[in-house]
Amino acid sequence: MSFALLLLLAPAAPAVECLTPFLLPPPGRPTEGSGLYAFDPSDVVETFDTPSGDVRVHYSVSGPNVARLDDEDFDGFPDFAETVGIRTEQAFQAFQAFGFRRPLSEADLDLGDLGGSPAFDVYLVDFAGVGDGMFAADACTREPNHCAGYFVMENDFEGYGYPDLDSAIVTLTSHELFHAVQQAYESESPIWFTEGTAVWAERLFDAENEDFLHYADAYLDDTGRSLDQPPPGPVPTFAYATCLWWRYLTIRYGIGINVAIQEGVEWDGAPKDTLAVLEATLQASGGMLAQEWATFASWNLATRGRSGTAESYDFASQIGPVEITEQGWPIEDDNRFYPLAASYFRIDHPGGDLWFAQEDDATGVSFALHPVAGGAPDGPVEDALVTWIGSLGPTRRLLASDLPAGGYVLVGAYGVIAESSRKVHLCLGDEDSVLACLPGLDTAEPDTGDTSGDTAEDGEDGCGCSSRAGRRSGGAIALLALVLATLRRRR
Amino acid sequence: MRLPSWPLAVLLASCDGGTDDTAPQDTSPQDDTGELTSRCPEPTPPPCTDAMVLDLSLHDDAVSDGAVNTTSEGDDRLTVVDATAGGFGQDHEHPWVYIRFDTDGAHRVDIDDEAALESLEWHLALRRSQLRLNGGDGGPSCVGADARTTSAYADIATVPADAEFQLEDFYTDACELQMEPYGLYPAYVLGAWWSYGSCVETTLTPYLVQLDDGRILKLVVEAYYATGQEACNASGTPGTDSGTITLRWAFLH
Repeated sequence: MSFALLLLLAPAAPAVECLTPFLLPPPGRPTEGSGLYAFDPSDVVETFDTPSGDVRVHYSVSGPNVARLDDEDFDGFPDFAETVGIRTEQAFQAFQAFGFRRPLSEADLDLGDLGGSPAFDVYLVDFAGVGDGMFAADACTREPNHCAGYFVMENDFEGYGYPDLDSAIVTLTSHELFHAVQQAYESESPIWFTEGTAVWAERLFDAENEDFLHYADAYLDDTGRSLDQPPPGPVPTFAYATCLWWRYLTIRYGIGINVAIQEGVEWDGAPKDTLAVLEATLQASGGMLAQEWATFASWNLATRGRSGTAESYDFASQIGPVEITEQGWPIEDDNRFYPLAASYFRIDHPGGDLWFAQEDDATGVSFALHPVAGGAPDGPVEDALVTWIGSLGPTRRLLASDLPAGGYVLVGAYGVIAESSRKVHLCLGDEDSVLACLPGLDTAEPDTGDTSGDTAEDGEDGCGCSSRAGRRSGGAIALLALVLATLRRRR
Repeated sequence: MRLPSWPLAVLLASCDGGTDDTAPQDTSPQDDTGELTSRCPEPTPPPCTDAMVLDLSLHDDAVSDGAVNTTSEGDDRLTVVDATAGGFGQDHEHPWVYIRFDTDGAHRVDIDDEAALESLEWHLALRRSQLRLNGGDGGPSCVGADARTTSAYADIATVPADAEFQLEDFYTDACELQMEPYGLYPAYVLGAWWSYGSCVETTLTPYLVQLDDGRILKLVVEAYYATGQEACNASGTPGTDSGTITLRWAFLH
């Protein structure tokens, strides 16, 4: 792939989404020979209609965009085009069965029979390695912002890295068709939502989808980045990688929550803020964004070599591991905890008491300390030993007494919708090292948060922590108990 | 989009205490001994650092080792910067390359991205096609530039009387990122150096760059590829090793 994606050099145009690169729609269908991904005038284009008549596949039998033409069943149609049509039709049916709307048709917008029939059109065009699929809108309504369109996909996948041809077809058809589904709700959603949920839809359609795993893995390389803040650039992988969060929600709440979020972002007299819709939908489903984000962060820790013991995804061993922000013993770091992001710190604990201190405002940051199983320095992690919420001011606390030696991982997750990060100077170590790290804490105001539920021993300042060990404390944050109770009900 | 709120006074502050994004076109300030002095001796933190860390993918745990080599060609310096940053699509995982223009050439400043937000040592940061000056929204110094879109690099021998040096200004007062017309990258002051056909073409737009000590140099980005830039510009064929930036520059007197 090249810098080619600068192709976004785009004047205002109908909304377009694509599987990898983001390209402008040609001014007309690919059969009209214009645009970046279009048939050449010398192409001889034929069509295959699925049995239901819902999908028409346009492919070239001769010319620069010639598709795979093998016809092993001798039915007169290339197997490749047939499979594309059948898979697209299956995705149509699957998404509807899961409760999503059907994509808008040409008839819905009085566009006539574009592509020569009322069917949804798919065009097989050579992408020459620069991407492999693109949804393009023919026309849109405004308020609500709905679009009807078609998609273009790679004509033969020669030189592409998919494990096999059917995987490529399944990935592309489900991804691009889901963009068409999204356009039946809202055509102006942010890319981190549209691409993330389109990759999520790949796995919904195909439980073994490897493209989903690829992007889920990519998310774990950049967990410190806010969910809604992919980096600028032509192909923001992070936008696609948010698929992991949408999958997490499905596991926790069922597919209905994903449907509800699509419905929630639809214009209904005013533009919708996607994050606000996410939070409201979670609340309507009985959850809370902060606690779900903290659990999501812990699930993400328990991946690849750290999977197998703590609760996580059924595909946890196939993704990750998360990137560790800081590791060693003791740890002192200035870290920015961004909204809807998480950071990880691994310690090699020699054994004994474990202390934590923060110098700055860490309100809303959920911390969880996970031991590595068997006292190993790294490897499968166990469920959190201690959890607590960061406090307003400087705080020092004893997380646990007389811990066995071994590896431990601290997770810091800031699961709120906020304008900026929490930049926190933090220390993790024995009492002496934490005192040396933040000596000013000797005079710090104590954290006097209420205690509720099982907690670890008090921090020196009177703060409290929830603990799996069940030790009684006098300072836990009431919210935490609520969080844990809710989580248990949902597991 | 989230809209961080920042103190207006901070937003408007520039290194010289000005209240806009245009740096003063003063000549090189000197102290009593005739030594050059900085127009902005104290760093002014960029107003949107929190957003910047994410938007520009800044790292606090890595320093670029991208090679920076300068040769001479007549009165010009040719500086080749390895700003490949891991290759296409990987740049956000890699630190920027920071360079400083000195009389004996351009030198790499070994500093991590977050430390660079407090440093006056560097003048220009590079990562693939992104070139960011140390000033305004881009850094704590007061390095500014003026695009001379109607001139050729070779024809600039002195500082034009109408030169106006712009500091980086790619955030709004509310720290919303402002993108260049293509919508791909922040609207950097030097952003007009490239265009896109089917490869990254160099527009050969010359710039005047005013450093923190007031000295002014002329600069043009000659290549984005290690080889093949001419073919890219002429026929749209991509070159090799994209992100290998060649800068031609010379101090103006």
